[in-house]
Amino acid sequence: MAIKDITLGQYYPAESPVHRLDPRTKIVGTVVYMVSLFCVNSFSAFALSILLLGTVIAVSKVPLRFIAKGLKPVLILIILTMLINLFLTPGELLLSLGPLKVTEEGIYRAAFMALRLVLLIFGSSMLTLTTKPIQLTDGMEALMKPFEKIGLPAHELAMMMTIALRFIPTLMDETDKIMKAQTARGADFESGNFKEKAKALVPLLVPLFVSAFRIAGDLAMAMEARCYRGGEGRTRMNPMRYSGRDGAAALILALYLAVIIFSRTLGLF
Amino acid sequence: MQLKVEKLTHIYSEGLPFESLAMTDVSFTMEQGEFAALIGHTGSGKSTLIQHINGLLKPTSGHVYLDGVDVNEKSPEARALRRRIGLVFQYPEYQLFEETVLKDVCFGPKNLGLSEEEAEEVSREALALVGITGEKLERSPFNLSGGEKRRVAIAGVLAMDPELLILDEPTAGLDPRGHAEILDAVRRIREKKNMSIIMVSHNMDDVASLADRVLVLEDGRLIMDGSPREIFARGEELRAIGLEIPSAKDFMEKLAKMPALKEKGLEIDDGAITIDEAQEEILKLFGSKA
Ligand SMILES: Nc1ncnc2c1ncn2[C@@H]1O[C@H](COP(=O)(O)OP(=O)(O)O)[C@@H](O)[C@H]1O
Ligand SMILES: [Mg+2]
Repeated sequence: MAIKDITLGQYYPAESPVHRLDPRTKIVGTVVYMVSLFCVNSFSAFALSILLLGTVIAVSKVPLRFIAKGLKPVLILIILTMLINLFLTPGELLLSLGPLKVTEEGIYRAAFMALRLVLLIFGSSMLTLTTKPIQLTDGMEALMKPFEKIGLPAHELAMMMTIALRFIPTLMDETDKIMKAQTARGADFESGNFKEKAKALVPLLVPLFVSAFRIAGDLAMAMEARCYRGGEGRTRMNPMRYSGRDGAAALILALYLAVIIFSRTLGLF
Repeated sequence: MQLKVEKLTHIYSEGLPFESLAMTDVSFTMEQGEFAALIGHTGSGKSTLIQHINGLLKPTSGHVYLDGVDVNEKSPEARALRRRIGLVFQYPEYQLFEETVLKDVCFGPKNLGLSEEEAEEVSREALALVGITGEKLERSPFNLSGGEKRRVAIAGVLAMDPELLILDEPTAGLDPRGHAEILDAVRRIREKKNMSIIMVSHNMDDVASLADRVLVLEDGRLIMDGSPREIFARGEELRAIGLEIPSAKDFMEKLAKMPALKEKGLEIDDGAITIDEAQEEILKLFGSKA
């Protein structure tokens, strides 16, 4: 089924140094990398960004083909962004097709935008592909901890995220099952115009909501039965620890960031 | 209709790191009117197999034919044949969605193109067959008991008048009463309609009393195929793969092994698989003594 083939946000099990990095390192690293992509504005700097991500991907043992699948749902967005930039950027005129004008700046902007988006998606995919959802939320909780002083409910937010992530596959399975069951009763989810398609969703959505509420009720009951009372004083089964590997990763990242910032401010490349 | 499964192999998520081989080289043929029970422990591939029969899952290799036509063909003929299969999933009550029981059952027949009145008529008939009548038809399906919900869901498929009805663990998770009501419904369907039936079940007593053929799956392979008597005579092999034998058969085997019986020079045939057969055999024993 198509639903199962969505890779965006999926974990790819493998043994690699990237998988073993502390989730906090990976989360901060990903954020820094994404911000850096918006500072980059030359091809040589992009080459450096690609080199860094490429190395991480190679070390992580996640097949490129698998990561690239995550592009599929946003491909249209990327193409659209490229076209808009290509035709609507003012500057040195190279070519004009009727009302559409292609400028030198437009070509640069379109290429940069596409590169940026692809790297953004690849970069964020790498975080989820190499980090188990549970580790991811643990990492987020730890990073949000300092903000508890100003009233941010770090543990509760992380718990909500954990539960949401945990139940995505369950609800996908449920969707898959209900879809199959209604298909077996002659439901048609594919053909028809927009209105008909929306109407065809009722036999899917009603049972899905009923299931979701049932699952939520069961979970709440199970948590209460185990005396869950929130974050105060809770300890972890697998406490997170920084290792030398995380130090090395942080160093590489700092170096990368320094080069990007210098190149931008001094116009080196 | 005739169902022919040929060298069916299925791999889930093929090509991904978590791919799993769920079905290997399964072949069998079923004729119109047969009642086959499909048994095997959890994860043996029962649900995977039945979803191939109406084309919901596509074989990784192999074929499924209905009356000689490959179900996965794109032709209108294959499409029409797929619609002759009535598949009732495990826990089918979770697929109910309409305001009333009757409306929910009408969903299937209406999708087949029946008019409102025709759909209602076949739906009432199907509901009566599973023992749901009267004011319950106008109730919300969400306000019924678990067993009733399930019978409504079964009626939803029955109303489409399939030639082959497939039930995936229709009694799973029900109390004894709900269980008995489902079995009664299956018996009535069997009597009133000329349908072939495939029933997945873990309850060997049900299998022994209903089926005239048993298919045994183990680890995605079809390892036994025969009459209930033949299959349940292989109790040791069944136990080795985590399956039971009917309680009547179990009792008769224990009885036959009792030394006291031998001492008295009494012989007992332990082939009985249902309570009725066992009763007959024991009465015979009394008779021979008298
Ligand atoms: N949607 C799925 N994706 C991946 N693996 C599956 C899926 N459904 C079932 N399987 C696997 O296929 C095997 C057979 O499952 P299934 O046909 O559901 O068994 P049964 O119905 O006999 O309990 C199991 O090992 C199960 O884990
Ligand atoms: Mg099953």
